[in-house]
Amino acid sequence: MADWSPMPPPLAARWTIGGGFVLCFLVGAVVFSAAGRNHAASQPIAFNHAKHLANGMSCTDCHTGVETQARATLPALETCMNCHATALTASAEERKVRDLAAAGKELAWVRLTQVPAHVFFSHRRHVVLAKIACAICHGPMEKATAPPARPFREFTMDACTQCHENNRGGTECNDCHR
Amino acid sequence: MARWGMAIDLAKCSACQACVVACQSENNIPCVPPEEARSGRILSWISLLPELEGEYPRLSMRLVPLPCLHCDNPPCILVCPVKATGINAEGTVHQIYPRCIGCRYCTTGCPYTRRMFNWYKPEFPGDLALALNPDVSVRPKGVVEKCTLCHHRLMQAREEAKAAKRPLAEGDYLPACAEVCPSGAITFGDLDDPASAVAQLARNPRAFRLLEDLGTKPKVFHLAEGEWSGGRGNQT
Ligand code: HEC
Ligand code: HEC
Ligand code: HEC
Ligand code: HEC
Ligand code: HEC
Repeated sequence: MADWSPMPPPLAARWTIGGGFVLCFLVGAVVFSAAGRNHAASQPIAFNHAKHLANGMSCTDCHTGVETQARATLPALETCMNCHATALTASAEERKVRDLAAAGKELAWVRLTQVPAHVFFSHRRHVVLAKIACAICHGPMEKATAPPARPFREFTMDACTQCHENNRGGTECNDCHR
Repeated sequence: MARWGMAIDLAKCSACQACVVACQSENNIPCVPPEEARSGRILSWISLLPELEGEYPRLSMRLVPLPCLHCDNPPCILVCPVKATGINAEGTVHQIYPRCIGCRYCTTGCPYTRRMFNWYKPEFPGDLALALNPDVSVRPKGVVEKCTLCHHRLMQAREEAKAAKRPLAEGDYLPACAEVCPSGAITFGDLDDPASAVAQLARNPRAFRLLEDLGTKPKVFHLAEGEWSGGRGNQT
């Protein structure tokens, strides 16, 4: 009889049910945290910051907006093709640049550091006017030999306001919210 | 520190609504279906308030451009239970959308009806979606929004001025409505700078503030000839 009974299930059954819940929780926790880690961005090309900067390039060559506007911007394929129209190395990653160009496709870089749409952040304001080094917010990118898997730091509201309180940035709500 | 304010000369205003359209596109204000708009769910940060004047047969209608008046003593802020709205040091009344819980106390509290609630998921049909202004966020369904005096333009203008190592000059920062007005009826600037055009207009004998007796102390002045008693003309 599978009728519902108002009596509590026997002790063994309770342990099984309870244990089942615990097990589910543990499995779930492991699976989801692993999923969280795998969430790491995969870029279309394993771009090497260190090599390019060692070749005398500067941040603004590729992140063209960083000193003139709010958005730093990520480079378009055209920028890469200035140098990579002919092969410079035997790297398979480098070949991808030309393959994309031949196929007429664009580079779909994944942006890591991001603030929500309701927050206003300007690179020129921080880089040019406040003279804050990129590394304070983004870490040592000139040493990066592969694309970072996750942002160097999370920009929570506290992260922004803490520096602002110490360095006379704005603390009015609508300085940052739009 | 500046105190941003506006003067709207009704003698110059031709009620063309260019300010309304400019505001709509500058601030990514979504479209609402006509039947919903008729039931008062339209979003329009600046709109024309119709005012009847005189008595039949000498009846006329005046259309009064009405943005948020950015009161120095704003009733909307007092009623917000979560501090999603506030007034900053320069007197601009803001709304922090992610903080807003959509209770709509403020839409009721505002005597000028200058706060609007997003009843629907914002929609930008057709090419309108391509014309969204990246400097302004699109508000989600369920929050209240209002005129910001185009605060994003102030942020931009300040940054530009500082990069050029000069102080912010009069006219560097204009909200979209003031910039677009073809007849020059809208003057915008710093009310605390006695030399500014807007401060002088505010002292003009033709200047009045809507529902001034409520004690809201608006920073938007309207200018009209003497016999018009500031929005109450048809009620006396
Ligand atoms: C030759 C072009 C090039 C140059 C020069 C360059 N970058 Fe990059 N940068 C890229 C590309 C491509 C990406 C996206 C792939 C990646 O993350 O590696 C990127 C990504 C980044 C990111 C991650 C952005 C995010 O979404 O969080 C940061 C930070 C960054 N660069 C900083 C710098 C700094 C600082 C310099 C100068 C020291 C610099 N870059 C110079 C091309 C360049
Ligand atoms: C100013 C010229 C220049 C530009 C612009 C440039 N590169 Fe390079 N790139 C080089 C040089 C030089 C090398 C060889 C570096 C070395 O081997 O020391 C190279 C090497 C590479 C490699 C091979 C790296 C490796 O690990 O061996 C890849 C991949 C690459 N570039 C991708 C890109 C991408 C993607 C862009 C556009 C965002 C870009 N490059 C823009 C000059 C440039
Ligand atoms: C005060 C902190 C700060 C500094 C300093 C800073 N950044 Fe950023 N960066 C950010 C934030 C926050 C974002 C996310 C912006 C967004 O979502 O709009 C970002 C995003 C980026 C991106 C992603 C692409 C994009 O356009 O959003 C790149 C590339 C980048 N920064 C490069 C740089 C470079 C190069 C420098 C130095 C010249 C620099 N940043 C200095 C905070 C900073
Ligand atoms: C490392 C310190 C630092 C961090 C982190 C930082 N800021 Fe700033 N910010 C400053 C400074 C310093 C200024 C003042 C710049 C100047 O002199 O004009 C400033 C100015 C600003 C302004 C202009 C304020 C005004 O009154 O015009 C805005 C907007 C802003 N920051 C937003 C942000 C946001 C959003 C974040 C987080 C994503 C952030 N900042 C993170 C240091 C920082
Ligand atoms: C210095 C910049 C800055 C200032 C000043 C600031 N905020 Fe924020 N705020 C942020 C950033 C950045 C985020 C996004 C944080 C994130 O994504 O975790 C944020 C997020 C929020 C959120 C959403 C939190 C969530 O969980 O989604 C609320 C609500 C908020 N801010 C309210 C306010 C209020 C109210 C004020 C004024 C008292 C204020 N903020 C002032 C930068 C700022």
